[in-house]
Amino acid sequence: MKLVGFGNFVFALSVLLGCPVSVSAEPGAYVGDATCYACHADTKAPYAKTIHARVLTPEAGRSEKMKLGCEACHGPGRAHVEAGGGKGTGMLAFRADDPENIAVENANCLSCHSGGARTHWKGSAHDSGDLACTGCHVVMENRSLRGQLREENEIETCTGCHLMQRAKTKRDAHMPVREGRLQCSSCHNTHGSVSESLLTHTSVNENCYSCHAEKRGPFLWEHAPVNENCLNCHTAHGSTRQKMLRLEPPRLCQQCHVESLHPTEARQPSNKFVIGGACNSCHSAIHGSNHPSGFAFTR
Amino acid sequence: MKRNRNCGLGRIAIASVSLFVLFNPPAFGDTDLGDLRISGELETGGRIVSGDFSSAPYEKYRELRPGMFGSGHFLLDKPDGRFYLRGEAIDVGERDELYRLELGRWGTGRLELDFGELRHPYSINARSPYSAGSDGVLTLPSGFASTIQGLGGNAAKSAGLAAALAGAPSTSLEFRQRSGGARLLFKPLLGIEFDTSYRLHDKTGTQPFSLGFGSPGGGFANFAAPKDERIHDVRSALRIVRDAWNLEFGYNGNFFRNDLDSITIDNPLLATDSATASSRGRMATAPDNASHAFSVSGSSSLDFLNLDFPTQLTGSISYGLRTQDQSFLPHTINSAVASALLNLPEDSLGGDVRTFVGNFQLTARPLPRLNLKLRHKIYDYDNHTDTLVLPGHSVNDGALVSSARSSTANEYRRNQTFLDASYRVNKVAKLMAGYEWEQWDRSSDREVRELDEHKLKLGLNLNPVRWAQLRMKYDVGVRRGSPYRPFHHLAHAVLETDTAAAQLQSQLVDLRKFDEADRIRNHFDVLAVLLPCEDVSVNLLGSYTRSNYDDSLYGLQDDERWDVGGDVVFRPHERVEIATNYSFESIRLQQKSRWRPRNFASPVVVIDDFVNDWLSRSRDRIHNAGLSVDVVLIPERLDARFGYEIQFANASTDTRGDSRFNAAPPPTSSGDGGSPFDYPDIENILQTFLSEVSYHVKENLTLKAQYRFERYDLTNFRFDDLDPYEGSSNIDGSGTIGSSLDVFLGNEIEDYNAHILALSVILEF
Repeated sequence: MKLVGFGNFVFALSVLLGCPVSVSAEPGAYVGDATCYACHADTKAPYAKTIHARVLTPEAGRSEKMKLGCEACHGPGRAHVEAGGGKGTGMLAFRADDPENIAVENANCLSCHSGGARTHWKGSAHDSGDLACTGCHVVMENRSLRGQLREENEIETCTGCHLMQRAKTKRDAHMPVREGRLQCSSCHNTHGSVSESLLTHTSVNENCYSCHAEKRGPFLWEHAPVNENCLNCHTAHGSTRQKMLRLEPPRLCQQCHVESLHPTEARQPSNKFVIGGACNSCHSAIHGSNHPSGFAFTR
Repeated sequence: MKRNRNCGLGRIAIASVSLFVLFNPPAFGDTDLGDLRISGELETGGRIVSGDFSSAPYEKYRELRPGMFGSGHFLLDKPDGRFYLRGEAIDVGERDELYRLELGRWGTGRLELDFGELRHPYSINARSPYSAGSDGVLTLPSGFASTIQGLGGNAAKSAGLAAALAGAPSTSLEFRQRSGGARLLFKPLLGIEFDTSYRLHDKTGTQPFSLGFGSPGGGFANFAAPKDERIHDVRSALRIVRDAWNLEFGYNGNFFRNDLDSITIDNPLLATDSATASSRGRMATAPDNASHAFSVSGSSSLDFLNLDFPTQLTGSISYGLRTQDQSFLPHTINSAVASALLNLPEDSLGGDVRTFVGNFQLTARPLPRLNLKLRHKIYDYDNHTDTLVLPGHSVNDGALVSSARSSTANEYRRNQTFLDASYRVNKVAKLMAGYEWEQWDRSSDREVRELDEHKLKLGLNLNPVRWAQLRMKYDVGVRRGSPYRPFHHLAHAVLETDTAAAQLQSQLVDLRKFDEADRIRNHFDVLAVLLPCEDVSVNLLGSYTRSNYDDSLYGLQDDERWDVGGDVVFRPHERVEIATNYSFESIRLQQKSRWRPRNFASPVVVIDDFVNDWLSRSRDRIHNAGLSVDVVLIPERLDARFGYEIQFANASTDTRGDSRFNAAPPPTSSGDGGSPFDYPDIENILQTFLSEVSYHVKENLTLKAQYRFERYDLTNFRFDDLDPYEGSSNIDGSGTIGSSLDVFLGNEIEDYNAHILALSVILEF
């Protein structure tokens, strides 16, 4: 009974909303896949293995546009065929080297792939930087297991431009990115977000807490800079310092603490305030404490 | 034992599949299975490893041990392209295994299942006298503490501790994370999508932790703390997508559960409780907590306004609730400390934080070549947790302190406004300019209530020829705050009337905490992408950032970082590809401190003398370089790949005193007089050499031989040769070595070198 109710709800919603993704060109402008493959035969075999080849067919297509096959993405081919092929015949070629065409081509991709993770694409860093969808994705063949990526995986794809981030994954303290257990998209939404650095969550800390929830609190005794930004003390992509810290303690802590209780001096390198856990040897609950006597983060 | 059995079964399965594949290779390509077709890849093989690879860094996040290994993926679907099942298995049977399974109908919906695990070793050399019992209680061997307690004087105790720790047994210092999840994504109609998922992270094992038993600077004990935590993450979303607009309603629940409420350890120096010190120490572990976030986001092309130019409004609001209500532990586990002052005002915190995020963005193209963007974001961290006043406390389970402490409901609001414009001059050039305003509005427990940063941004994209792109960005930001109130946080950490307590905690009044300090920041970015011909691609990049904390007499004063890098891919022949890369990053931090000796008797007197000022410059310099060559030796038969990568990182901290520290001792003999010390450089070198030969027996069957050499060398004075007893760790600034009464973990971080030879068979089907 509940399922029937749910089905009715979905049906009512769909009637109310109608179906998006329309076809604007004249029906006679389309030539069909067979005509395309007559000249572009070499693309057929690798393309046949892709998800697009499985979805953009008259049988499987869920909209008029999706039933058009090649022309769903490249546009109507009649003029191209009648001109004997070649450039400048009105078809979208998805070549990433023409900045003036990028917006048009991206809009074509977004006509099916809008919403969801791409809600904030418009005006995002990659959109503003004239990055084409085809700069990162390849539709005509499978180079990656998922996401139709240009390279074998996300890391190779993203670090094609973000070389420094690739270098940082090699550092002593790092996330399991180079081991392939975290992806760039574990933290970033490359298609746009409401946060700095295209983070998937609404702030740096929200991002970190999704896996490090033990540091979220709220605690009886809060360490205010922790609350505001994990990056006050840590780096995200890798560090030469332990625990992905920006600097070794005690100098890291001394950036904000020049105390009288601990005379703030450089200390001998063998001193207990420097080796091992350093400041954290006593202040081990540095992310916040819920102990009644833990105001100095020692309990 | 169970773990080993699983590994064994997994590897036996891999071996069986290997033999089957070698002698019965199926046909290539999409293999017909009646109404279904299957395609995929399977790799199985064996690995031998030699060298000195008993090292935590070698095993971090992965398993590369001798034995069988296997990975593979498949896609099973109907020829009409509708329903499919696909799966992936990586490192089957190993402790970094990962499995994914997906069942669905293309374009309509899918069910995803996954499971994986990950190792997080810290050190394989940790040694600790503590034995872990149940419920987070760690105990010392019988007689350990009583023997040391019975020794007279710190020197004798220190010697006794050294003897007791000499035979400390090794202890595991590693936790494992297992993660599993399920996701259901369903599009009942084009433009409507339901997306719901659940994920569990399970972390069990140990991690390095420490507890202090005296204050300040008294003895502490490091130990391998048990870890038994779970994170449950639930997400759900309804998305509606139309040509002109889209809308998403979302929910994200994240729940942290810790099976350990506290960790208790024996005091290595004391076997009996007294009114001034405890035989045990107990700390609260991270409390259970929950987070809920409800969000609505969407965008519209504003067609109903009938504007003559394209526009889009994007908006997102999110309301979050974070709660934490775990029962408090008592102030102390010390049976000899009891007082009505230690009565708790509440049984638990009743933590209640509400967050609100609003983000609105309007983009428009009023002229064909002009793009405008206006965006505002607000993040409000609104803390509704009650402030608790605790009339007394016990520092480190020691003596009762009849000085009240008040908790703080820290909160803040962050506003950001962006105005950006870009103008495409022609096919070659695009100009960008922007302005950004950021404001922090913090609660009164922080030194600076309001902080405003104004930033001006300029950019230029150039495409001088079709094969070259150049992107440059420059921005300058000036941050200024309301008056800095050095003592203001104390008003909320101790009661305002408690001046003695305030003095105890005092910070240098001229210190500026960098996250609240005035700042001038300059930033420059450049990226060049060159594709001069089909066989050559070149990427070059660089950036420079300098943050000058121009009002900070003490604390972080200057943060300068820059990097350069590039890579080149060159195909001199259709069968040869050469790729090389290099990058360098420099990070330089300058900060100033002051040695402020004081006495530990009432009245407290702090010596604040500028001759005790000192400066440090910390610098990270990291080089990365790599070269790889891919060669097709015999077309469609024999391929080879060779590669070498190296990272060399050096981190230094050098110090300089304005003069030798004031030799005058503090009011009572508790000072550390002396000079500031340079720290030895921290260096690490990671080298990887790879050579790989693939012989294609058939179109779909490949034999691969891989030799990999990895070498990791770390020099880190903080951990090198660290023993459970460190006799010279209680050293003062004059070089005088006092009695060490601390317990370390001996958790060195080990170097490694490993020669890894792997032979595998790869089947495509």
